[in-house]
Amino acid sequence: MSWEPKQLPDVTPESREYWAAAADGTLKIKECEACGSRFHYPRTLCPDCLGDTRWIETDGTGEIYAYSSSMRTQSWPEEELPHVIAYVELDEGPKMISVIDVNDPELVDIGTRVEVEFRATQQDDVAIPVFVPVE
Amino acid sequence: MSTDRSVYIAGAYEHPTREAQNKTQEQLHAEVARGALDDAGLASSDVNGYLTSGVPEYTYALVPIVMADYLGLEVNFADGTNFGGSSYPAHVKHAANAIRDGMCDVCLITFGGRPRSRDDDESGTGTRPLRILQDSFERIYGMNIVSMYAMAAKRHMYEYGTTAEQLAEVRVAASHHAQFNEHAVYPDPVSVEDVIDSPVIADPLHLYDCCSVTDGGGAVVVVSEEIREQLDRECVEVLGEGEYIKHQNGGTIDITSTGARHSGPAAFEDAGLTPDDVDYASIYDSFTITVLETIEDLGFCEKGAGGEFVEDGALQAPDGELPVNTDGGGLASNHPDRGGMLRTIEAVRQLRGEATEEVQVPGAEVALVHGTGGDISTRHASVTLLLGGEGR
Ligand SMILES: [Zn+2]
Repeated sequence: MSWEPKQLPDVTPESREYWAAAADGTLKIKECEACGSRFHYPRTLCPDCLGDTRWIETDGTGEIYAYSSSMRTQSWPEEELPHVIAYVELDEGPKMISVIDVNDPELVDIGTRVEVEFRATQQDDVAIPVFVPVE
Repeated sequence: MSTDRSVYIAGAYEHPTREAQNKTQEQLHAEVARGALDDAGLASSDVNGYLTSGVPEYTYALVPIVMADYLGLEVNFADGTNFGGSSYPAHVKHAANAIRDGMCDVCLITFGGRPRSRDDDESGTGTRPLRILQDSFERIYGMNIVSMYAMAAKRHMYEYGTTAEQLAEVRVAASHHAQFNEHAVYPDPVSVEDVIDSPVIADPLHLYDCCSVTDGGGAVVVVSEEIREQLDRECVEVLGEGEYIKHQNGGTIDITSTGARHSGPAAFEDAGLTPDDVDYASIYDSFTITVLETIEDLGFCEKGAGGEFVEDGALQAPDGELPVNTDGGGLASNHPDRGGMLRTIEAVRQLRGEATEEVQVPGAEVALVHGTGGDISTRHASVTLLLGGEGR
């Protein structure tokens, strides 16, 4: 079963480009112009040094740092469970929270290589990044 | 050894309710305020400092201005530090600081919550209010508090070989204690097998790895040395405290440890004590993994050795190596949105020798209270509080 967005994120001046890039098929993160730190979620100033930052495109690949299959929750439609929440450690460095969109949670483990896909929303300039295991 | 800068918890009261269908949250605060002041032998008019925080966290709702009005308090000092479930042990130290600064000499700290009776069924739609900016990058995926703690458990198992059976030992100890607590919501003892056989909520956490959802509340009264000398009640000294906010740090977070790695050593240094001095510990037990990581981070065992440490009844009073949560904790007694106040109150009971007979730690002189407020896998406030009995 494919993971489908249930609601829109709050699109802010700090995050608009992140969501728009996703809608264009690219996962972007922020990089600090002063200290070089790369981080997620996006912020205008660097959380390491409060320096100015720029957007960089990632390869959209990484590996699973941690995950959990939700079997019972009021947070998601029962007929779409289990769904797999994960921290993906991007090849560019930062860990980001997402879902691993798989029918079979047995395909998921710590260290599993994954790549990004994007799920459309009802808004043209907003898509949600999810990850799938690399074949 | 007390000095004129010594500060004490003089009154403590835990609400006996576990389901408060016909009470408001504010009423619970008032009832526990009366209980704690009665316990201390003080009156509402004696209070000149007030601290509270509560749910909802993210709106202008349960804050000292609103609640001081409701309770009719006249105060020179107020603090609304909101560390989620760990707010209240922090409030004890903040009250102590204000008393030492001469701003007040009787501080009331109140807490009440009613998640069991509150109607916040999310009804499985996947659409929930986005409350904080990070929710757009987390909550929209459908995660909840259980799945976030479950990820920490999963990673801890991966790095250190921790097992589901070892996590279950934390619940076994909580339930062992709860059978002696007449107010506990889950008073039946459970075995490791019972925990493993309970339904998986978010892999690897089972239903019995998760804390209860109850209504309830509690309050404590913190006083100066001068006030203590006028009271008949046995008091508990505030010995030291540490705080630390742990977060994702831009995406470099290690979820196998908590902010207790920082708050613990700070509290021990503040008090001039070490983990060896601790006779009893109240450790926030939102989930079994929370206790396991915290025990390691506070230095009761090596990092990664928590699983082994909790085996063979180490957490069980009265004879375990480190008796923890002798009221049954959040896992088995109560968790009204937040547990920090209730765990503080059990530490006071232990130091007064007033815990339930079967779980009273003989001669308990030093107690540790540790709160983990927030989410172990994203951001939380760790608070460590050290308390001492009068006989020390
Ligand atoms: Zn920087």
